[in-house]
Amino acid sequence: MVAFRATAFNDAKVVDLLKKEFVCVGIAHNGAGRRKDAEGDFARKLIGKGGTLQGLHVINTKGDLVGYVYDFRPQSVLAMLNKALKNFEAVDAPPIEFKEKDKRFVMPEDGLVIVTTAKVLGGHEPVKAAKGTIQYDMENAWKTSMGREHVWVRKDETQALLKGGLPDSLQKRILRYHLVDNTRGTPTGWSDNEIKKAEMTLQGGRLNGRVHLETKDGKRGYQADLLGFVEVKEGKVTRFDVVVLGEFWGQGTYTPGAPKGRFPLAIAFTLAQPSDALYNLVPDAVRGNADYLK
Amino acid sequence: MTRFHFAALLVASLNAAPLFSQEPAKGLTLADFEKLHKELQPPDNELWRTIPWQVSILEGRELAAKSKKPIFVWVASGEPLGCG
Repeated sequence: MVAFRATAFNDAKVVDLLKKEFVCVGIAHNGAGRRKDAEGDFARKLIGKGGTLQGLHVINTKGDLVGYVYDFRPQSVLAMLNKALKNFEAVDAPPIEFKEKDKRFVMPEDGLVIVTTAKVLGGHEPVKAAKGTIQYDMENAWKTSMGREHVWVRKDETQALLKGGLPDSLQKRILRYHLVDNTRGTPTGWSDNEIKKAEMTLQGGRLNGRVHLETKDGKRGYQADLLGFVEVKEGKVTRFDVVVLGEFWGQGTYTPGAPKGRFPLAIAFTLAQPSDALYNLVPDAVRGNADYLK
Repeated sequence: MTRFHFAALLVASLNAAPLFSQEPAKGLTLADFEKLHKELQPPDNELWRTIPWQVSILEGRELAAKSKKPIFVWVASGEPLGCG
């Protein structure tokens, strides 16, 4: 994800062509592709059709593959898009009824959406690839990118926040799924028994905390302090600004390339804006974590 | 085992090499919070975010049917628009 954003999707020609000629969608093969509903059924029509599970696809409304490439280079992506445009013909496809949604992927009604961003503040070695190459752009992206994620907050948890409380269920969700190093892609979360210490208190709208998360073998961990502010106005949570800063060590299964040893990792939380086009994005942590909202 | 010192760290820019000391973590100050929270907001000028991405493939399909455009689908291991 990080590498595509810094390469193909950072090219003005690619972006202009996509904006002008295509309807653009982003999905996870292990997210939307595993949904047990019409969204999942349609996603599965194209996943894997290019020869791999990932990549850049062009399809018609029947789900037929018109173009495919798995390449970060803008010129390759442009070539595929232009070829797909030549081959594309609009087809008649009946509407797909989408009433019964896989509940795991449905945003809690009357809840909150919070955006998290994460940044490694130091410890990476200098980029080794030659400047001006695609390898440089990719390596630089992995070493400087900002991790992003959404947090879903249930209605009852939102009600608790409105009363000045910080429910245990929300604390645990934040600890297990959102205090992670996702700056290089899909992170590995924490299990209950990897929460070694968790002190989080919300008093008078000020959130203070100190956490220690660590795997049993000690190879991955995060020791950090939290400070934040929660504000309520006219029966609504109007602010959920939190910063977490501490030392992280180790890396997840799908996030190699972490700095050696302990390194500073900061994570910020902010209320999502409904006007944001990505507001409805399902938290990545929902995938494979049936207990995410518990 | 080295530990970094928050105050020293915050003097440095986000991309600078970390500044370490032997001091234990002392908690976040209000100044730390304000500086970091601001610096951790995504930049306004990210080209990839100017694309009107759809997060639902069925909603994208509906738009494509109306506009008679092809559907471009970025498929990744993990949510491409929001993970990492």
